[in-house]
Amino acid sequence: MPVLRADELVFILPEIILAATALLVLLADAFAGEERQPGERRDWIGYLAVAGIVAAMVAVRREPPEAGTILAGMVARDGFAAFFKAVFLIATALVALISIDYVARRRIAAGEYFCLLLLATTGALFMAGAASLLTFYVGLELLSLSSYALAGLMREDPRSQEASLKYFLNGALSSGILLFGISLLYGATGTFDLMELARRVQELAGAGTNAGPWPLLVLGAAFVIAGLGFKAGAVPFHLWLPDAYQGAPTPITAYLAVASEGAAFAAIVRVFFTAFEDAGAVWQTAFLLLAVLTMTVANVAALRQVDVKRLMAYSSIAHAGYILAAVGAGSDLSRPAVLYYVMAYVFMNIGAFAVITALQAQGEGEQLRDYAGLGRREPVLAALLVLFLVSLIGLPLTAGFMAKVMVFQALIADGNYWLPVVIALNSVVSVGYYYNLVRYMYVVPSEKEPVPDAPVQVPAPVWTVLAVCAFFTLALAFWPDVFLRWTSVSTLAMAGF
Amino acid sequence: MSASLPYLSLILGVPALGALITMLLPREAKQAIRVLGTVVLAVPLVLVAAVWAGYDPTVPGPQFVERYDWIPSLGAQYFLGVDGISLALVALTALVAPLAAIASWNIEHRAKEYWVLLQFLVVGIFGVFLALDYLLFYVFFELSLIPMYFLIGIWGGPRRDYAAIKFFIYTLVGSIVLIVGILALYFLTGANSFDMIELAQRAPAAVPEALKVPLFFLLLAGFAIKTPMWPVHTWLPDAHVEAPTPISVILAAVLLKMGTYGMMRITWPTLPDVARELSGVLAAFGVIAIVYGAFTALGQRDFKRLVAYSSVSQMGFVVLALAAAAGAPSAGLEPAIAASAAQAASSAAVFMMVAHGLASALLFLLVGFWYDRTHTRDFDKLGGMFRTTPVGATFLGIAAFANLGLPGFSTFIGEFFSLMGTLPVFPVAVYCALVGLVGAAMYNLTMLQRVAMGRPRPEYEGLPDVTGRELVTFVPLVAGMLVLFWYPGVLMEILNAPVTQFVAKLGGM
Repeated sequence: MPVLRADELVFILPEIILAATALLVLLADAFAGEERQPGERRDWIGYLAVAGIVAAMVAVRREPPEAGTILAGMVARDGFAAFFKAVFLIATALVALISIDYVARRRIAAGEYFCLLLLATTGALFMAGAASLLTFYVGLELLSLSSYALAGLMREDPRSQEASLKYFLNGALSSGILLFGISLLYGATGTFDLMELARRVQELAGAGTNAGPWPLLVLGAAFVIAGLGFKAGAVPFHLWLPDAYQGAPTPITAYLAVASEGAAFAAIVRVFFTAFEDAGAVWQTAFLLLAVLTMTVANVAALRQVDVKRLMAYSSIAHAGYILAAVGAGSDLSRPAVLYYVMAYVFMNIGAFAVITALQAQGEGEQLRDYAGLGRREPVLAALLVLFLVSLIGLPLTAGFMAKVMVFQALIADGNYWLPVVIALNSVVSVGYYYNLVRYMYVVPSEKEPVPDAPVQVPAPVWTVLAVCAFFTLALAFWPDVFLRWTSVSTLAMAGF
Repeated sequence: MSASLPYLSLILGVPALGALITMLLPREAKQAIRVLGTVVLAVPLVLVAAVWAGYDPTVPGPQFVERYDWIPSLGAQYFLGVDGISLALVALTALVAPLAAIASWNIEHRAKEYWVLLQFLVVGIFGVFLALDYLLFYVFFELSLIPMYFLIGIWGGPRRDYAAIKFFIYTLVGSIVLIVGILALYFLTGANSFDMIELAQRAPAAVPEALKVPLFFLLLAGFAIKTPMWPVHTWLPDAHVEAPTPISVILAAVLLKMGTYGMMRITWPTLPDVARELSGVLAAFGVIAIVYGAFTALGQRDFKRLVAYSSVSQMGFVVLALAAAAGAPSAGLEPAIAASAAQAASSAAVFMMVAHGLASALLFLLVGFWYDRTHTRDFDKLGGMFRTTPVGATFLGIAAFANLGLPGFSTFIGEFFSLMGTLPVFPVAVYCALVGLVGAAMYNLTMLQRVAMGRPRPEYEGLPDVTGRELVTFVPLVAGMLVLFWYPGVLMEILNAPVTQFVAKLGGM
C-alpha cells in the first residue's frame, strides 16, 4: 500500500507550504491579541502571507522528471499542474498585495482574511494537480468553502452578507450537481482515476454509442460540465455571480475572477482532455454552445451596469466565454490557448482591479460616475486602467490581443470560422462598457468641477502590483514567444498523454 | 541603393521616441513640448526625402526592406519595406504630419497629453504604410485607433463624446473582422508566415472556392469602413465635425487612405478572382459614394460637414478606379486595352489618394482658420471674407477650385485618369460619376460663395488675416497640388513598376 514518500511529497510542497502559512497566519493573529485601538493596522500579516506564497512559488517544480502520478494516483506530477500552480500563486500574491491596504482601511479582520485566502489557493493548487475525480472534488470544496467565507468578510456590509449567502447556496447546489455527475461517471466506469477513466471511455467509444453504460457516461459528463460551469461562471449557470462579485471585498472579487474561474478551467481541461479525449465530439459541441451563450449574454448584460464591480463581474463571465470557446475548439492549439488566456487574464484583470481597489479602499469608485475626471486627477492611475481595459477588449500590443489570437487560432485550425466572428463581434460589444469607463475618466466632466485635487492614496504594494501587471500585459504581447513556449511545453507534458 | 541606415525604422522610431520623451516632460513646459513635437514630426520628412532619393523606380517589389523575427513560433516578423504605392502615401503622411503639428500650437487644454497622442497616431499611420507583415500591419492599424479616440474625445467639439465612440466602434468592427480574415488566410495557406507578399501569392490556390467570397468580405470590411465606402461612412461627418482642426486634417488627408491602401495592398492582390467577380458591385458602391457625397455636401449648412462629405465623394473615385482595375480583365476588352485601362485606373487611384490628401488638408485648415476667428462654421453666419480676410479667402478659392477638379491642380489628374481608366470597363459608372462631378462643382462653388463672397459682415470687421504660422501650413499644400499637376511624372515614375505588378496580379492569368 502506498506510503508517503519524501520524493513524492516534494511535488506537493507548494500546497504544504501554503497550508502551513495559513495556519501560521491564524496563530500569529491570535497571539497578537485583539485589535484594541481603532486605528491599528496589521499589515505584517499580509506580508507574512505574501512571503508564504513566494516560498510556495519557489517550491513549484517546473520540470518534473517525467509526467506521471504520485500519491497512489491521486495527484498528477506534470508540467500542466506546475503551470497552473505557478499562475495561481502569482495571482494570489498579487491579490494579497492589493488586499493589505484595503483590509486595513475597510476594517476587515486581517488574520481570517489572509488565512482563508491561502486555504482557498491551496484548494486551487490541488485542483490543478488532480489526477482523480476525488482529489479534484476535495480541492474544489476547499477553494469554494474558503471563498464563501471570504465573500462575507465585510461583516457590517449587508451586501457582503448577501453575497456570501447567495454564493454559498448556489455553490452548494453546484457542488451537489458536480458530485452527482462524478458518481454517475463512477457508476459507468467504476473508477475515479482520470487515466483509468480515459481507458474505459476509449473502450466504450470503440464499442459504439448505444453500448451499455455509454448513456450514463454522457449524463455524468453533462453534470460535470454543469457543475464546473457554475464555478467558471458559464451562462446559464451564472446567475449568482454578479451579486457575489459585487458584494465581496474588492480584492476578493478579483481573486474569484482569476483564481476561482482559472481553477475551474484547469479542471475542465484536465478532465475533458484526459478522460474524455476519445469522446471529443460529444462535449466539444456542448462547450462551443456554452461559449456563445456565455459571452453574448454577459457582454450584453454588462452594457447596462453602472456599478463597477458588477460590470467587472459580467466582464469575467464574458472572458469565461472566450476561454470556453478555446476549450471547445478541440484542436491541438486548444490547450495552449486556454493556458495563455488564463495567464493573460490574471495580469490584465488584477491590474484593472488594483486601480479599482485603490479607489474603493478610500470609499469611492463604486459607481461609474465616480470615475469622472480621474484622467486629470490621477493621470498615471487612469492611464494604467486604460491599458488594462484595452487589453480586456483585446486590442493589439496587449496581452488580451495575443490571447484572443490564440483562441482564434485554435478555432480556425479546427475549421471553425463562425465562432471567431462571434467572438470578434462580442469584443466590439464589450467596447461599449469597457470604454464607458474610459469615457468617464477622460471625456465626461466630473460633477465635482473643478476637479478635486485630493489625490488617490496608492500604497507601495499596489504600485508594485500595477507595475507587474502592466509589465506582463505588455510583455505577453511584445514577446509572446517566451510565454507560448511555456504554455505548449506545459500541455505537452500532461500526465496521460 | 543599399540602405546604410534603417530609414524605415527611423521614420517610425523618431515620433515614437518623441512621444516617450514628451511623456517625461513637465506638463507646464508647453512651449518645449510644442517645439519638440513639431521637430519630431518634421524629421520623417527628411528621412522620406532620403528614401525617395534612394528609391529605384525600376524595381517593382519592396525596397529598403528590414526584416527580423518577432514571434518565431507563429512566423510573425518585424518586416518593413516600401514600394512606389506605399512611398507615395508615406510621403503624404510625412508632409501632412508636421503641418498638423504646426496647426496644433494653439492647443492649450492638456497640451502634453495631446502631443503624446498626436505623435503615437502618426507612428501608427506610418506603420500601416510600411508594414509588410500582416500581424505588424494589424498592430499599427489598431494603434492609430486609440489615440484618435482620445484626440476626438478630449479635444473635440460639443458632441465629441458621441462622435469619438462612434468612430471607435465603427472602426473597431471593421478591424476585428479583419483580424479574423487575416488568421483565416494564415491557416488556409498553411505557410506559417504572416508575410503579406507570400500569403498573397499562395492565397488564390490555397483558399477553397467556397470560402473565397466570405474571406474577401472579411478582408474588405475594415478597409471599407476606414475609406469610408457608402453606406458605412456615417461615422466620418460626425468625427470630422467634432475633431479639432489638426486632427481633422490628419483624418481626412491620411487616415482615410489606410482604407484604400489596404484594399490595394491586401484585399485585391490576395483574392483577385473575387475582386473581379464583384468589381461591378464595388464600382456601384464607388459611384454611389461619389454622387451621394457630392449632393449631400451641397445640402450642408455647416462648413466642416460639407468638407467631410466632400471626402466621402472624393474617396469614391479611388474605390471606383480600384474596382475598374479589378474588373478590366473580364470586361471583354482586348488584352492590351484592358491592361492599359487597369494600369491607368490603378495609378490614378494612388494619385487621387495623394491629391485628395493635399486638397482636404487645406480645406480643413481653412475651416479651422475661420472657426478660430469667428467661432462658427455656420454658412449663414459667414460671408464676405474676400473683403475681411482676403488672403485666407484666396486660399479658399484655390482649395475650392482644386477640389472641384479644375485643371491646374492635382485632383484633376486623379479624377481624370480614374474616369479614363474606368470608361472602357464600366462606361455607365463613368456617366453617373460625371453627375457627381457636376455636384462637386456645385458644392465647392457654393462653399466659396457662402464663405468668401457677399457683403462683409460688420461683426467680423478687423478680423486678423492669415498669420505667418498659418501661411506655413497652407503654402506647402498648394505647392504640392501645383507640382503634381505640372509634373505628375514625379509621382507616376515611382508608381509605374509596382502598379504594373499590381495589374499583373489582378489579371489572374
